[in-house]
Amino acid sequence: MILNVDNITKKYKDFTLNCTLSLPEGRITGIVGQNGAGKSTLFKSILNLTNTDSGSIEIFGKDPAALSHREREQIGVVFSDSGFSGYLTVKDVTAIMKASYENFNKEEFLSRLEHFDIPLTKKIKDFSTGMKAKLKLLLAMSYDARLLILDEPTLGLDVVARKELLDLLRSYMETEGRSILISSHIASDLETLCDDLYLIHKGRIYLHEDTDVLLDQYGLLKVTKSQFESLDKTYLLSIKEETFGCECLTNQRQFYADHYPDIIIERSHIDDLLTLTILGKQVTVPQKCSHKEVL
Amino acid sequence: MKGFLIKDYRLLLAQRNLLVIFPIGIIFMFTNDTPVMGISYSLYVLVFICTSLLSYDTFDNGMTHLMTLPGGRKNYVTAKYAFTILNASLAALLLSTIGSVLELSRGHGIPSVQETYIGTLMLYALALSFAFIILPIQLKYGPEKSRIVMLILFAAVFLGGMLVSFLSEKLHLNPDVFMNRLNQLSLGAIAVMVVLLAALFTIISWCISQKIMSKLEF
Repeated sequence: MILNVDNITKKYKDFTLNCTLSLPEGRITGIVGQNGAGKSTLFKSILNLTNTDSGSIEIFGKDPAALSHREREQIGVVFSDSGFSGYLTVKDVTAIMKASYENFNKEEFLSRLEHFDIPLTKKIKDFSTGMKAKLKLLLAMSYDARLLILDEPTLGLDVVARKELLDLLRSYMETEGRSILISSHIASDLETLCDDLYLIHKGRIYLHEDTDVLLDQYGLLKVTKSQFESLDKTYLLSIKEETFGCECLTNQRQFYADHYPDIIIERSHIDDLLTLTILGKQVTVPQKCSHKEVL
Repeated sequence: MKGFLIKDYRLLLAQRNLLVIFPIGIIFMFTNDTPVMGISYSLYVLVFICTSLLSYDTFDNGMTHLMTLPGGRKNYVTAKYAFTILNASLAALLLSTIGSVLELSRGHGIPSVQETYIGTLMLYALALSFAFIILPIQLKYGPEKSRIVMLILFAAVFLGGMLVSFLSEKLHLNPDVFMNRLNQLSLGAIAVMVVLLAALFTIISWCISQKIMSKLEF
């Protein structure tokens, strides 16, 4: 595992983070959750920017605080609300990066800046939100990092720019030995990019599943009250009352399609998962499921 | 650490407006009877500018990102101290040379040149000490709150001085005894003492800053 987070807890006054996750080499893992769910806190804990109350974290098999300078050069980080000082220009930042990272590829970096129309001599504080977001991601990808930790990297980007940067991340992963841990509240971005997803809510992991399983086997059942009464609830994960009856989340869409041809069954997207997990009433974990942790 | 140093130099160059204050000190050297006033002004302004760069780092959550760079916390602190010492050293060398040339041009002779260099050395040590009081306070409390802390600190030093004076009077101690002993020493000896004390102070300040930095959360 390139990253291992084992039952870490971090307590604040009104919030507690309690997470376990792992990131194998060569994978893109997504973390999805609403604002304030704990995504940034989790990332800061992983990067030793904040202390944890218990649990352990390992990056490249070591405690993050014990990583050497060379090992820290293998990590690329993006935080949506933090970057280089706005009083610097990209030219300044290029010089800083060259001095900080042995593998910093200046030519490729400058070429990508030109492609994304990012000026070299303008102060970063005068950039648009989208330009700042692009710059941060391009910086993180400019020195052949083995591990990218990206906290909402596409925040502030328009659809076209998001697609371009997600394509960049895909091509970044074509080199062996790299992994990405990425968070977003734009679930559609993660659906097409990630191999597996963690759903975080109120500081806890509510769900962990492979993305293709989520998109293929999970589904939304839209049932009337009478249909709900006669429904086998074994494979229901979450239930939300609606005006028409109930909306139910299941991880065995095919089962319900085979046994209940009359009910409306839709393929679920990550957004649906998030909505029903947060707004719905959780059901106890069914016995027949794989790769899943649900409360 | 190299990355952090380059960052600070780039930030310094971006603040060209502030650096204009520095040559004003050089003008003071020419307009006063001795160059010491101008040297003192320039050195203190320079170290103040160097330490104030921390506020640019903390602006808009910038420290969170800086701490993800491979240099890390320890190198960040060391770079701050190295940056201030380097710039103050270069400035002291330049200013003392200008001051000495000025003294010679005024016909004040070699003793004045020696006094200029020794005086600059003492001012350099004191300016650095001043900077390394500010730095750990800024790291601990941030640029905004550290101003209040500094005010409280100065008030405490002032009250401490008054207390010492009061106690000296009550206990019939004569502070002039210490000053008389100091006056018996040569200027060079005093300068060496000041520099050694400043060096010790710098090491203590660096250790305190490292401790503060190791506990900070971002």
